[in-house]
Amino acid sequence: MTEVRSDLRLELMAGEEAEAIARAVQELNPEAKIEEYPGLLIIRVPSNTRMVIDRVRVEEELGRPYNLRDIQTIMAAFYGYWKETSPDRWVLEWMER
Amino acid sequence: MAKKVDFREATLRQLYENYGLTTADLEWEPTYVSKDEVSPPERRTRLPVKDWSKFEDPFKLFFEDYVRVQAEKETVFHDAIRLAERFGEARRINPRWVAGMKLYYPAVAQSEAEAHRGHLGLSRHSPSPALAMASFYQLLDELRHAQNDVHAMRYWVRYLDELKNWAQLYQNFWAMQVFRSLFEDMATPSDPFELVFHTNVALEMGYTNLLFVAAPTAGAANGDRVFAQLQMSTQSDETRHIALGQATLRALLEQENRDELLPTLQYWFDKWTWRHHRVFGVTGIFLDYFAENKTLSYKEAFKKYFIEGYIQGLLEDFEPLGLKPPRFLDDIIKEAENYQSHQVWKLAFQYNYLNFFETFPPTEKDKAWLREKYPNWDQVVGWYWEQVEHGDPGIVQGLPLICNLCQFPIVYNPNDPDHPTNGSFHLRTTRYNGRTYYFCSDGCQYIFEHEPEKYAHAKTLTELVIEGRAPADVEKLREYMGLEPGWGGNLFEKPIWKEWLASQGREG
Repeated sequence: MTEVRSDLRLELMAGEEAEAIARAVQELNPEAKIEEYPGLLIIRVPSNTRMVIDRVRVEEELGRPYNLRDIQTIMAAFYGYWKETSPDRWVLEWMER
Repeated sequence: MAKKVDFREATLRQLYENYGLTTADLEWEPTYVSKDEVSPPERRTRLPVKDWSKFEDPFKLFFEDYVRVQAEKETVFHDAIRLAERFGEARRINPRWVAGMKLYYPAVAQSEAEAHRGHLGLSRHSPSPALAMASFYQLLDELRHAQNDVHAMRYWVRYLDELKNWAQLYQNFWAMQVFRSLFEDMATPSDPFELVFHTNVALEMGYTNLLFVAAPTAGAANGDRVFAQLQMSTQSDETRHIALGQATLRALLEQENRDELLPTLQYWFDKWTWRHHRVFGVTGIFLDYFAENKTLSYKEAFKKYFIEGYIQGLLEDFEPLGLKPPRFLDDIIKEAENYQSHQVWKLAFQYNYLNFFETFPPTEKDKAWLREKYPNWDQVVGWYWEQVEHGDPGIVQGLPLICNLCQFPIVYNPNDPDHPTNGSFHLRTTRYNGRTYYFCSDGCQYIFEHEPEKYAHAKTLTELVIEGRAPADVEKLREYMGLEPGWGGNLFEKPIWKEWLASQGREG
């Protein structure tokens, strides 16, 4: 459809959970980039990679238990396809071509 | 000692792993009444879909968890409102932004209620139990959004008299007809799956991020945390809707007989991308004009959400399955990146004597920013604001010609990019059943000509005035639309703006 494939992107309401998730994503994907706007934190990873949110890593960042389904309380937008939304990890990818 | 098992956690895990089982039994043969009484044939889909097992809810959400997540969102939103009330936050929000909120809430509250109505149909008449369940959550979401927008108006109405007439404004106010027409159109789809296309695909993937994510950053930057929290909370539901749209689109496009389905799906895709572009382009005036502290221009937000997210992102997945780019994509990009927000703002100012919210000319600081973001700004509307600066009131007497499809006054000029402001435009007309219909664009004309019966019976406000069914006298027309004396006009000429400047230690 177009020549450029856009980044995988997750936009979260800003706060400690968003920051912890961003750091957890960066640990697994060093190419992840963070953008900040008033009240909003955006995580981007290149389209040919994947964004993995690992529960244990998020809990380590937060220093407390975290239910990944709570991402839904702060998720403002996403671009990609949720390949997995299990209790242990959420994975955002584009579809296979 | 063995590790203590969190029984609730273990139960949730069980449910997640067996999600299919929690929805599979939602399909049963009714015995007390006939199936046609539960779901009349004309309400069911006419798409020849053979295999619904391809549909899977990506979030595998079950009701207990839905309630828990939504309750958390509600707590945060209601806390934001309580704190704002307790500490008088409304008084510290830039009045330019507040003027925009007067327009925003009446338009969006009703629109959400219409979206709720639409999903009642899909949830009940869906051929797939998993889709019915996801749609059921969505209809509850839409109701939550409508109620929260009304609740925000309850908070605002002590400061803003205008909001007390929100229902009448939605019914009769000139610019509201644009939103009303769109959302009533959406609530009456030709097929339950047209609803998925217009809401979950075209609207929620293509446009609501502009309104509910980009605009809230501007709200937050201008002191309006209630708006920012409410709309991001709304959009957090939309993320689930987007996943539902993706999953439905995928299930439809992976059918063996997809070539049979494609012409209908492509038409819906073309139609609704255009419809939403026309209406949600209004978001541009919140970013480019109402906001004094600016975060993103409409052009930047459009690139970020519509181009990157919708065109270069999600749709990229569906092209190999046969879906082509939306038919009017070139017109959409040309308008959004060059003049849509400027022409809407100019139009709103030209009719400021017929508005209930205030508009105002861009300041020097605004102009410098607009020129940087939109290099052709002077050519598009700069000349007009120069006239206003030199004493021309800049208003237009008499109602404009209004598009018979989108209900927007005909101000766009997509076929004439070199002269977007010279006052001429390529007017499209269609004769149908002895009446001439006027359109602002190829997109609107195309939709009308595909479904003339759906749109031929509506009258624009201009037509109602000419026929004597709405008042032609300005004061009576204001009353008909729900306006009271003193509402609307130029914000910079009102005491509230001078008071704000003084409170900020700024010169008038």
